[in-house]
Amino acid sequence: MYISYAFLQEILGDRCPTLDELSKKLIHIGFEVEEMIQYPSNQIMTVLVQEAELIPDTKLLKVNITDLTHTFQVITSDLKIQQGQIYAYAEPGTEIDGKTLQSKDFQQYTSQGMLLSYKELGLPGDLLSTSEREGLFRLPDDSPIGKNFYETFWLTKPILNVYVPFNRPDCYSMIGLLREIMCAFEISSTNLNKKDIRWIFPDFKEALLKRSVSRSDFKRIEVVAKDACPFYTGMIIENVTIKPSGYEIRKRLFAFQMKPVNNIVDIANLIMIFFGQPLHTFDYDKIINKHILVRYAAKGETLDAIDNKCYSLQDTDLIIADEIHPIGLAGIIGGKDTEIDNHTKHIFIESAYFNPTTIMNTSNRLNLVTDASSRFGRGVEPSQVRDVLVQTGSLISILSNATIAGETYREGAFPVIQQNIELKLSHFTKVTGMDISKYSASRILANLEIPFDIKDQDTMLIHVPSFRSSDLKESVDIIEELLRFIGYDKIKPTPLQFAIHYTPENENYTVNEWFRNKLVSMGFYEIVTDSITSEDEVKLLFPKDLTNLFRIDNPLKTGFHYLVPDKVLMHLPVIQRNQSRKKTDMKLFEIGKNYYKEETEALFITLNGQMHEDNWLQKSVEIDFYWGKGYFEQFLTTLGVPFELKVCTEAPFDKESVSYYYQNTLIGYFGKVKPSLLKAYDIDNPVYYGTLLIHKLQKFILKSPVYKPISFTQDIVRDIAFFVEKTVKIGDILQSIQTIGGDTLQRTLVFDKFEGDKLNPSQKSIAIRMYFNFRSNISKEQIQLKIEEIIRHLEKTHHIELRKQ
Amino acid sequence: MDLDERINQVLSQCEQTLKSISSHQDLEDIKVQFLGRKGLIRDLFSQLSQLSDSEKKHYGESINKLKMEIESKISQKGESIQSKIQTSPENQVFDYSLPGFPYSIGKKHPFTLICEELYQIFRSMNFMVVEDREIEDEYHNFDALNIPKWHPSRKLNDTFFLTDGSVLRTHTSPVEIRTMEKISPPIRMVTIGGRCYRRDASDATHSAVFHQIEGLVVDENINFCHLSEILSEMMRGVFGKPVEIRFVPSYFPFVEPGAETLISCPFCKGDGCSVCKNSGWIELGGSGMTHPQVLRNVNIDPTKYQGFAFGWGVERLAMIKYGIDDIRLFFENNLSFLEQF
Repeated sequence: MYISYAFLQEILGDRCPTLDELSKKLIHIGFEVEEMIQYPSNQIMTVLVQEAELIPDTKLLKVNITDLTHTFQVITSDLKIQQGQIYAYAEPGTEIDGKTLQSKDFQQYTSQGMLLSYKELGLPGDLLSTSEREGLFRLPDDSPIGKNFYETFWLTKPILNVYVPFNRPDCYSMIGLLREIMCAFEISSTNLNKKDIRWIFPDFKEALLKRSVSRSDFKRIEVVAKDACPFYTGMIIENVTIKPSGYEIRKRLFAFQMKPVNNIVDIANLIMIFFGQPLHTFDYDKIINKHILVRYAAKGETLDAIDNKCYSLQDTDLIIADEIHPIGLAGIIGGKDTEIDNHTKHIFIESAYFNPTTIMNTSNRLNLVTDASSRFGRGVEPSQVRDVLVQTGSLISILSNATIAGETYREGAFPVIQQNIELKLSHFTKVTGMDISKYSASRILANLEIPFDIKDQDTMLIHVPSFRSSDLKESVDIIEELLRFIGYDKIKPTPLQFAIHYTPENENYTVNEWFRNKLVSMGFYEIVTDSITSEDEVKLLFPKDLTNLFRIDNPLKTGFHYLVPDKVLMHLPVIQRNQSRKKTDMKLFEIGKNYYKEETEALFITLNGQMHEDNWLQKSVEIDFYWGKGYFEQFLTTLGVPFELKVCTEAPFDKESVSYYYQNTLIGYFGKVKPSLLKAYDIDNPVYYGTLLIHKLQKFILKSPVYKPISFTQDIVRDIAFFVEKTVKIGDILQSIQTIGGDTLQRTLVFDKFEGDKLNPSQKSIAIRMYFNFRSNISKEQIQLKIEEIIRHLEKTHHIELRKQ
Repeated sequence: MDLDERINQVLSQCEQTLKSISSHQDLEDIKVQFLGRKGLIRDLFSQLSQLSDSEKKHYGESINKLKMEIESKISQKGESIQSKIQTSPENQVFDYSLPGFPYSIGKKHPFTLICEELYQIFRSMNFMVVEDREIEDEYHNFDALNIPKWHPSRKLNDTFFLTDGSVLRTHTSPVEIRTMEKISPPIRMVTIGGRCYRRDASDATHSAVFHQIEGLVVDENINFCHLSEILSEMMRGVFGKPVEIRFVPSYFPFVEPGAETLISCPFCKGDGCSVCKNSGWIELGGSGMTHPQVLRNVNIDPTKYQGFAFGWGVERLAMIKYGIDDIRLFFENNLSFLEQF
């Protein structure tokens, strides 16, 4: 909502707060000032054209103008200027667009300054009519002459753009906002009739009204959908003259940032701004058979609306129709067929109360929000529906020299909402932590025009006025009203009193933190990626079947329909983006979610480039499958997870990949991302990616360590080197060694692996180091026997050939 | 002694001599001894004149080969002497400024850093930390929170709807509902860094995916001033100094009275700076007293219990704390950005 400060001064006179006080207070009572619009304020004069004459053999006019004291001559190329019109004039010496205006000579004539266009006046084009944007800016013919243009049109004072909360439909009007401002500044409302039509047109006199008998051709208003439209009123005005609005109306349109249309629509719009009641005006002659129906649309019906769009209607949409077809989408937008144009003679004005839910549903469904729908959708004040219509009709009839034809038609009755709320002042204290006196509470409620009775020392009975029926429903709503005007800034921190008890840690959080700390210490960078991806991308992983994926019906970006089924689709773009910025070595991790069949939180690791930079101590090493796999195994080993390896069948990998299982449940996988996937992201070097379902390992992380006595003697280290067929898995050999080594064998390390020219092509050479813990109860000889047993077993089971020392 | 034997002898003599020396001076002497004008090689060449033409050719080649071999051995020895001299302890100059191994230390994402701080802060205040699903039903995301069917936040414009009718949660408030459904008061819970989704076009301050911190306290004697206390303690924890909390009225259907929450600018003490846009105050998010209808929806008696709640953007907090001016940086994962934290 826009509030013109100049208008406020006009209404409140010397009781008007300063601009600074006003904007601060508005915020404090819950109306954020989103913008403060300020127009230029040059010395621009309104002038009357006395004479306009074409200069022979040119396309220029010589125009004599007057400010009623002096006469000036200007030369202009705008040939539409005529005697009697009023324009904005800048004298020589005035600064326009940063340049100082000089007198100019055209042939024998001198142009003393210039008449101005809207751009030169600094007016926003989107708030002007088409004709106002063409050529020089012509002022209404009844504008004051010889005055400062900006002052005359209330443009020297700022216009505040105020955010109205969704639950305050009453404040989508000047009377509503004025009620709040007056309460905030404790300005008494006596001598201020907020329903006074002279707010819009100061010269309004009842005596000027012209009335005639009812029109015989008008059939009737018929409300079929009574649930959606409990109250409908209408009025016919005959013999209107359609023209641009006069000065008083035009000035107010500027003040409330409304675009002018014509003298009829402009008044309807201003009435809506002032009283919050949207109206619609139809060209009466275009209503077929003069029969107005308020009904639900039939399936398949359409409406060509005044925004030049055609809307397909459903049977839940409330429409205004004549006997043949829809002529308006009730409470939202009017139809093109019955729109007022320059030839309109008679009009039908509608003022109604529509069910907010019906309007909101249709507005949401069609994604069509208008000034009318945002008011009807939140609920208009039902008791003023008819009064507003009468006032509008009166104003239109006077300003367009027309006649009100007969009665005000009405169908149904406005819903009377009677609600009482019991407020206990002790409840206020309980909710806010602050005390309030009965006096303060009474004063605030009275200023807000909320009637009440005092029942006892602690209790007040609140009679909710109809204009607040949508937001005042229970005691806390009244408490909020009182708190708003006492001031939210009075709320001061007060310590809580809590019972002391132990609150357990969040186990998920502990697990995530464990992995984060470890990974960061191993040189990984943590990343956080989006969850929404495109259909094209998910098809890289799931080319055929998307049934287990989560699909968004209304994506923000075209095609971005899916929650990411595997974070690899989010990590590859991160690699690509960083590579394009010449960052080449990446060890990345994320703890986030995959969305495949269900939401699953996991750890995701992505590796690309080299393990470390080339440096004087050590040449760089390209990350490969085994470098990456090591991270997974070190985590699982450190945690003591008894895991198994299996061939990986997951989607993003090529041949080099592995799955990890714990108790036959998949707990993770790792591998080299397949080239076709990398190609889709323009990555041309290998990327390794893996995931670990860390929450399946929770018990290993949360368990308390148990101390085992440490050995004070040295470990015994023994190496064995052997040839073995390439098909034999080293993992199986290590497992055999561990099985036989038992508790005495602390760990093993593969410290050499060789395949090549000098070997039998079917064989590989492997060297394994075994670390035995030499305990007091095991002798060196016994360990030697263990090693021999291991070798015998490996020879028998895996057919190793021991290498000669 | 025939010439072949002599050639072998010269070679082995050279090898022996080279083994025994360790200075450049000795090496020069050897050069003269073997390769000099009166040296052993020249001596061998001089013996060729007494041989037949075919023998001359054969031994000429052998001696030339010997000469090259000796030259190479002397040169190798020279390099070895040079290297030994250079690496000898008296010639070693220790340079403490030579860079050590460039280990890479990883970094946590700034989003995590702020979440870890919040976790510590709320643990220290004895709050239970809870999490829940991102794919929500309309009941928990809207209805239970007293958000009417016609509310604009429920529009297709603002909320992502999945094909099965569920929604991507638009805030972490449904976690409040799910917690209250499970636990009876007193409740003191917080959700830290819960992922939320809104159908907002992305710009410097908006992202369709973002995270919230959500707090809820339900007890018999809980009021707005207590909310102020918790928020001010939270901010003291995040910014490491006392920060003033200010409320202005605002409308959220699940709190009444509801407020937009501001903090006094921790950077300029209210004098005005770019962070607070010269206002001295920074807007952080919604808070207020839990609406009685929300309590009724989870079978908590609003005449006995009251609650307060708040839900703020975690990225926004991190942006203020670390001076980040564009929310999109959180999800781009530019290493130049990440390495700063």
